[in-house]
Amino acid sequence: MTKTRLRMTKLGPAVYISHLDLMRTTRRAFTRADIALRHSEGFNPHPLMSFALPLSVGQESVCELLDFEAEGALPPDAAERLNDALPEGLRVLEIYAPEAKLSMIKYLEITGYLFYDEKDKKVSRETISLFNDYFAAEKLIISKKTKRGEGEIDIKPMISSISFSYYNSKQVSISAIISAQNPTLNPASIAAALPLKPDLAQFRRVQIFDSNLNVFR
Amino acid sequence: MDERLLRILPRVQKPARYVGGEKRQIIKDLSQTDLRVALCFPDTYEIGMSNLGMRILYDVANRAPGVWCERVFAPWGDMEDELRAAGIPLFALESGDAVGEFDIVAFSLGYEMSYTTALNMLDLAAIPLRSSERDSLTPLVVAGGTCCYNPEPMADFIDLFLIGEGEELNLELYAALRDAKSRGLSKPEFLLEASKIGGIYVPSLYVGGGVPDAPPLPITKRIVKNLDDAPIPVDAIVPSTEIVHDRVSLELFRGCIRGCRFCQAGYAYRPARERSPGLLIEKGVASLKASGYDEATLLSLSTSDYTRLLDLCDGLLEYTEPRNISLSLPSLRADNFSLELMNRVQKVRKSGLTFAPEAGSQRLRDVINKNVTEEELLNTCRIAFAGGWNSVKLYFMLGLPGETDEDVLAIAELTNHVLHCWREHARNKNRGVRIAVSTSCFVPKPHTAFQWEPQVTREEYSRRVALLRDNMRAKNVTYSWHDADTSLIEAVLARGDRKIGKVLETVVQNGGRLDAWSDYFDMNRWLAAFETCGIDPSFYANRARDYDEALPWSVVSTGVDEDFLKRENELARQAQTTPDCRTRCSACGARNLCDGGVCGE
Repeated sequence: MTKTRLRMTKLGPAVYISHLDLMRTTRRAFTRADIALRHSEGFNPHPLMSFALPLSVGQESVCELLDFEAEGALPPDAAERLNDALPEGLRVLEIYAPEAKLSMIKYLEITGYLFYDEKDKKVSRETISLFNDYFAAEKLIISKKTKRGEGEIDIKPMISSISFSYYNSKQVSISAIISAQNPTLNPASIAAALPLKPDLAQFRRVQIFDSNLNVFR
Repeated sequence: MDERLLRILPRVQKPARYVGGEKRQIIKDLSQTDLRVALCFPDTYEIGMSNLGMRILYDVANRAPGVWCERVFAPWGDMEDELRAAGIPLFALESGDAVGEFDIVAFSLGYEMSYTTALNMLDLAAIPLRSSERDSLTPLVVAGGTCCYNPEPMADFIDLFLIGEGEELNLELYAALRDAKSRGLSKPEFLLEASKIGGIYVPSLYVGGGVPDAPPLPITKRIVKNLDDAPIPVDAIVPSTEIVHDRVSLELFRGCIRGCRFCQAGYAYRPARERSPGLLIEKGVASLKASGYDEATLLSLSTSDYTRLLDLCDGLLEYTEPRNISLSLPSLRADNFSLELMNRVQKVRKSGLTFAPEAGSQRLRDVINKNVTEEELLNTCRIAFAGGWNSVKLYFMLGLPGETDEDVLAIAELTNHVLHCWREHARNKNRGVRIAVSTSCFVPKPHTAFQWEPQVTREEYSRRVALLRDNMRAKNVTYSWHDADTSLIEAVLARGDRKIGKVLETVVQNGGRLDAWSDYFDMNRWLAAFETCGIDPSFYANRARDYDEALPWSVVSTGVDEDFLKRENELARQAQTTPDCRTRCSACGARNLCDGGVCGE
């Protein structure tokens, strides 16, 4: 059996499911949907399935990609059956034959909101131009905790495009295309880099691209 | 979801446990609901969701028309701080509604160290702790579970206790409360009516002179007479985050035929009643299909005592083996673990073997009526080692009644014999062997043959631990022991009376909760609370009680006669054993509860 790819959402309460738990939850959904997965050979066989690009807990997505290998032919109503079996917030949008390897993924389009809840904090149209100018600079050095301690990295090369817009006096909306892997930029780093730190940043993955900014499939 | 929670959740550990939304959680239409139940487990989500009793009661309650039963767990410390800071009261996972809005707030009390957590949950829900401070009929705060066989330490806080098995009793309570609501009964009126239901203990009826119409004590526990009639929750919730027992649990039987004299469950769940293997296979397979789990475990107090275990294993293996589903058998006894059984356990993943000889010497094993001989244990180990196992866990208790230093050292000797057995019989010695020995401090429990016995002091327990440790120096053997402080508190709460309520309240007021976790347990907080309340913990834990002393837990009956427990205690003093229920009936009294199960054989 050849590899199959599915695209699913991770929304609502499901955003709090960690990557490891997402693997478990999805694997169980396959069993409940009565779709047998092929297993690896060996002493402790494990089902052949893998998610592209682990998503941080708390972030939403409408484009989580899962590659899997079913045992035998995939039933025509597989998506429906999986959706009956998955918990709230996880929903299969399509199942298709992969056109490229997951390693060919390069960019992610994300959208999000930055919240400024605290009483003294307020955003205006000037804040937006400040943010846009800030990200127009040549370098954007942020400090980042690594295994070896505190390090500094330049996130600018990992941002293909970014724009902020005014939503209301407590909320800024953001849209960006960022590097998905090699290197990976966590959208949370963008929020952390801002000159005016938000009290809450919510992000959603909306599209996955290859290195030519074509939609990855 | 509360907007404020969106801010909080990214900051706390494992937020998935606070949001619900798992597969098969039950959401009901409020307009079709006239009784709301908050089923509260006084520990974390991971522990509570692993509890079979919770799964059963959730299933039973939600099958009842008009009843919506939701889950509530204790938040971890970080989440509690956030909830308090934001002023968000404790909420149920399904609806997100505050626990204080429910008709029934029902606690499952299975471990004494969770008492403070239960009280703290009430506080987080902004519900007054004391029953006497709650005037309105609802929320009615009730409790069930094994700890309720001594309801007194929690009696000031709980409006009524459900004694025994809950499948039928809970539904009777719901019906009674629904009726009381429609008739506009006051809380005292309702409590008196509810007390007429068999198995319900209302502590406030027995204060001072007592209420004239209150049912006579003791309140006898309820049981499900034919276990094949008790529902098995096949369509249970599948958590989206890993829990402690993340698998299908199949309950083979309730009760135990053995009669170990220290074991509360062994007495309190009598008589032993089995489910039929055909039903278990059918429900087990259905549960695996419905959950998608890749592991099933057979649950009971003593799995190898299930009469048709091999048939059951074969039936389940027929489904599990081709699907890479593993089958685990905890609670095996060392005396009837056979080659046939081992072959079946072996077919799936080979985890370690665990046995609980409980005591090191034959004399002390006879005292506690753990009818396992050293020969049987070594024979089992021989089968296991020859079969390729290379890891064994051995559990013992220190501080059992009549224990001498010789008995303590016998643990080290027995361990050495197990090690020697491995050297002689191991299939492959290159892989080495791991023998893990662990000891806990014996906690005398109500309704057991040892309910009158003192617990050894913390100092004495520590001395025995040190003695054993000094004599357990073999390579391949690791020795670990439970801490003495928790065991002392457990002993006080287990055999406490109503005065202990004030201690619990004080501990909670001083920030105590999640005391089952070493992360939060603080001995000094407990000692300070005893001091404040003028309570001497050793009076409850370390004092030998006379047979004619009135015991606080005599307000409830497990169906086992106190005279039988006295006889067992006397036999223990003479190191005389009592045969298991299947070999010979010892006339414990449980037969009066039902003539099914082992009593009818």
